[in-house]
Amino acid sequence: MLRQRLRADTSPLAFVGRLLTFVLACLLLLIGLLVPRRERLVVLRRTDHGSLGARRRALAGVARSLTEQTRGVSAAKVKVKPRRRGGGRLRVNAARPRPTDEKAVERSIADQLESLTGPFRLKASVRTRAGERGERVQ
Amino acid sequence: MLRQRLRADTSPLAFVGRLLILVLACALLWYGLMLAWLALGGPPGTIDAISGYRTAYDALAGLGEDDLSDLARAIAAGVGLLAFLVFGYLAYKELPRPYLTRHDLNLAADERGTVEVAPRAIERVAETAALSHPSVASATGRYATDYLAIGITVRRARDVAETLEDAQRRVVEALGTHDLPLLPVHLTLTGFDRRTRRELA
Repeated sequence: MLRQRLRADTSPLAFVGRLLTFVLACLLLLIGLLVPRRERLVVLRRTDHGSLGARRRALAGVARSLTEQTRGVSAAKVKVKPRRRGGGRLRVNAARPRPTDEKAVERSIADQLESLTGPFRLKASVRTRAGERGERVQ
Repeated sequence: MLRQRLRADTSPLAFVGRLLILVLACALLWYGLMLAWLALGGPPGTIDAISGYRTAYDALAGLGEDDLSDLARAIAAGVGLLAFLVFGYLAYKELPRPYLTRHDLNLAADERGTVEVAPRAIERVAETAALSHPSVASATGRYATDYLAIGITVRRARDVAETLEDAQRRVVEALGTHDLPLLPVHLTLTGFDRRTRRELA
């Protein structure tokens, strides 16, 4: 009975048109779900008396400044990615002069960032590369 | 009041509701594409192999009145009712909770008159308190009836967490000093002033 009713439906072209509208509506639903409505903050603390948080760009600026103060670092790029349940990830890409030890500089950067990564529950991933010719020196 | 703002805080259950909508949207999208492909002349055997549409269709279209026992009907009804309650509750949690736009804060009212504080005055108290911290370069406040949001820019990279905590404490103290109600204070680091470029370690 259901089969006959479906077969007696309108023309194939109208059917395809209706289906494509249906797919488009699903895509819009997905966009509405997945596109964030507002910037996600890195949360430091949340209590009944209020919350403390930071915008990712501001926190990246602070982390970059701290990284560039480390001995053996000539330039740095930092990205911050907050997590839904608080905390986040801090990706540091720093340039160092060629004679310096890669591991030692990475350890120094991690130590320098401790005042930021500890309270904000950020997981720092530090990478260094030898500075290119013409880059700023320390 | 025609235009009202919406509260930013939502229930944690709203995330579960969104996850269910995501699964449903993906399923609808997948089967919509399969049907469109089928209607455009795609090979039915291949489409059935990757989506199982024919198997599901045959099983559902072939159901008769005698195929379901009383127990199966009772179970289906119970599960349906439970699903209605659970999904209904999740849908309720998805609803935004509107509240009135901000207005003057009424501190006292008697037969002689009223004492009111404008929202901007409260914001200014909070901004001045946050700016009294030496590491805070600028501060902007937003009074929103049931909370106070402060955005600050710091000029020192060191001890940012302590700076935020201290600035929040100063704002709370300033509200108390001026006999204003103690609202939750949401303090956010919104910028970093890099004018000094590099600090001496």
